[in-house]
Amino acid sequence: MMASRVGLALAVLLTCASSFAAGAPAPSCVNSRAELKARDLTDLFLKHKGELDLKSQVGCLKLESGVEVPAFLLELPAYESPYTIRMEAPLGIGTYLLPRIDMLDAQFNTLRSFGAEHLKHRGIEMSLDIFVNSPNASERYALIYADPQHLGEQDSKMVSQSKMLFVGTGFYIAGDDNTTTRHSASEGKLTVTLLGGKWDKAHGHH
Amino acid sequence: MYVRRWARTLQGVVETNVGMVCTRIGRQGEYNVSDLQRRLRSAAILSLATILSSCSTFPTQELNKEANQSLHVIAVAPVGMPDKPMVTIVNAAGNSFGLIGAAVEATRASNASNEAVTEFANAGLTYKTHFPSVIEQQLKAAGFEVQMLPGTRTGSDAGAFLKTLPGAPGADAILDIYVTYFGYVAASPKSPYRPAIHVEARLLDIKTQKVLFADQIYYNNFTPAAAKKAITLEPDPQAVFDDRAAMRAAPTDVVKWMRVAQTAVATELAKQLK
Repeated sequence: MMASRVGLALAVLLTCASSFAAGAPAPSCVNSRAELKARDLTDLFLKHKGELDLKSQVGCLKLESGVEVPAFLLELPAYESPYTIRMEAPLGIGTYLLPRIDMLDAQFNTLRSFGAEHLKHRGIEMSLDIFVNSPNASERYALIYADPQHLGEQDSKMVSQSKMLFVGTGFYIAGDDNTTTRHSASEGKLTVTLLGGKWDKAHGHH
Repeated sequence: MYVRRWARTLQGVVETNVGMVCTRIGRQGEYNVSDLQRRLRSAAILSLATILSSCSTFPTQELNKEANQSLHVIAVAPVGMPDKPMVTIVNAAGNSFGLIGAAVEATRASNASNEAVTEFANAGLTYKTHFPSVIEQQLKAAGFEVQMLPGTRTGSDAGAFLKTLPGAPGADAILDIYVTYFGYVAASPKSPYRPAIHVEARLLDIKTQKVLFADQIYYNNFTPAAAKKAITLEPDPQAVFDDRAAMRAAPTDVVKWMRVAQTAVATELAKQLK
């Protein structure tokens, strides 16, 4: 069981590695977080609905373990009052992203870290709320990458699926159990939302 | 006129899911339909009413634990529970055949629900008191001091958050919970039955009545497209009954898996607050 999971994780990593090679202009992997190009979170949230596509093209970080993963560095807004960063990773078809989020200070040291075990499994996504309170005011960046400890992990869901068939005189609703199986991958989509205080008003304008 | 519009909405829709059904029902208000048709449609979707109660997005709010470190004593308001356990077929064939089909399906669901009352009672599960006690246990296990407030929720209060909160002297916060689904569900007449419990919960500051936490916990979220944001717990793969006959033949197992589901939901709820 364990061996098969390790094998699966290896397979996913190899797939990711090959996608790095095959993908268009993938940046060379950096060894240091400071070398990643930071993106402004406020701009991402206000102008791009917080939508991120974590893939090899956005940046690549070589972890201490030697594993190379796509990584995103977000520059946090200056702390004024408590707010929340909500991360939502949709459960895609076949694969999904189980992100790890490291909260870094201005010198790129990790102050807090949220692994995939902190994520909540919701109907169609994995989600996490990170509360930024006054004791966390020195956090300047959020580093996002697929949690290496959970790469290749399998998510199996049984859902009831309706099927509506138009039969000329009306419609017929049928349904069946539908089991979907996904594996966590190093790439995937993510939506980052800012909540609380002034961000709630901004959210209303979206 | 309305027939053409109605047909247009269905045109090209060969396969959909509950989420799309949800959207479509929402749109029906735009069309010029007669009262009779509205009634027919209402009847046809009667059995789905509970399921589709989550059409509008539930405003989830995680508990900011760091900002609420003084949270030690939780008062639990009487838990809103359905009058009877439910035994539902999500995609019942009867719902596709107008008022008569819906009436047949409603009768089947009602009979199955009444049978479940007997099955639960025979196997020793008084679910209306058992579920709140499991919540109490799990909150205590998570380290909270718990006050179970007396009383019962009736009428509309049983299926919605309380409009007026009961007093809870000495508590830091009050937990307001109601259950929207409690029982078994099958995807279709030919699908197996699995246990399902759907819970909506919120925690309010006792002094300010500010919502500190609000979420849905769905054990067997059989409508993920409608309940997109619900914390989803997968049912135990062994908790499967091929059909109603299999359930009738094994009431002890029926209750056993309901107890497993209740513990899973209560544990998840406590985990959100811990």
